[in-house]
Amino acid sequence: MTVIGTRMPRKEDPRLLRGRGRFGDDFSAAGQVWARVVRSPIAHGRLRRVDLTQARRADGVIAAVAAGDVPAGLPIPVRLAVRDIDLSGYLQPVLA
Amino acid sequence: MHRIRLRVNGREHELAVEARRTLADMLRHDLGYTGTHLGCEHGICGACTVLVDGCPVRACLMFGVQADGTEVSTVEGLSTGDERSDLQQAFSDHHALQCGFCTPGFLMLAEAYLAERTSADGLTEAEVRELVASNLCRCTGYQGIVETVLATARSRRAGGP
Repeated sequence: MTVIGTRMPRKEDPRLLRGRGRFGDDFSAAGQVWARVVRSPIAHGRLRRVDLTQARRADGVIAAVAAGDVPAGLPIPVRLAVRDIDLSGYLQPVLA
Repeated sequence: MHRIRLRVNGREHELAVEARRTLADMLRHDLGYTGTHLGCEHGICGACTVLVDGCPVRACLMFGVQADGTEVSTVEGLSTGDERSDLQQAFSDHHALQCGFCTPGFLMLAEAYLAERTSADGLTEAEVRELVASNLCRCTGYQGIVETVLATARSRRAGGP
């Protein structure tokens, strides 16, 4: 007895067709919080300093995180090896 | 804040929303109709397609306050309980969905189109392909969706549901 070659009806269609899928933004968990990535408004500039004092004092802010708050040397890894070329010089810090 | 009243899938709602609140966010987060999805939030993908007074709209490009006094139809209103509409069943039969993210948008688009077009003669595949170009699907390649709309139109014209 094998199912190879037979039609197998999908199990998820009834939910998905009724809009009852639970995609990332479709559900709420108790105690969940929201995060914002703050990006530079300037396309090509020199970042001198990041000051989170006011942000941390703002109403409702639980945490504000910048470079100094993440473990030192935490890189965004490059997964693709390119012919023995060392790409470590191109790695960006996780946060400014 | 603005106090508005609208009907969603026949059910009356009254709520206060900020002027900048999009219809999509209002439906999803203020009213709990999360079947309507956000793919791009700038009117390209059509995952947010709902019907406002019978017309398909990009809910991400409309403000909630613009829906004051209107009848909104979302995917949740296509059937009740465990039932499935003929269109929903056809989507399943013709493999017109995989991940299901774009599906509510396509369902609402198809419903509006079929309501307008079923009685007309000569519905062609070319016309349906033109229709489905309105919404993005990354999974299916559109073939199943095209077949679904054609099959449902045929069946409704023949006196089906």
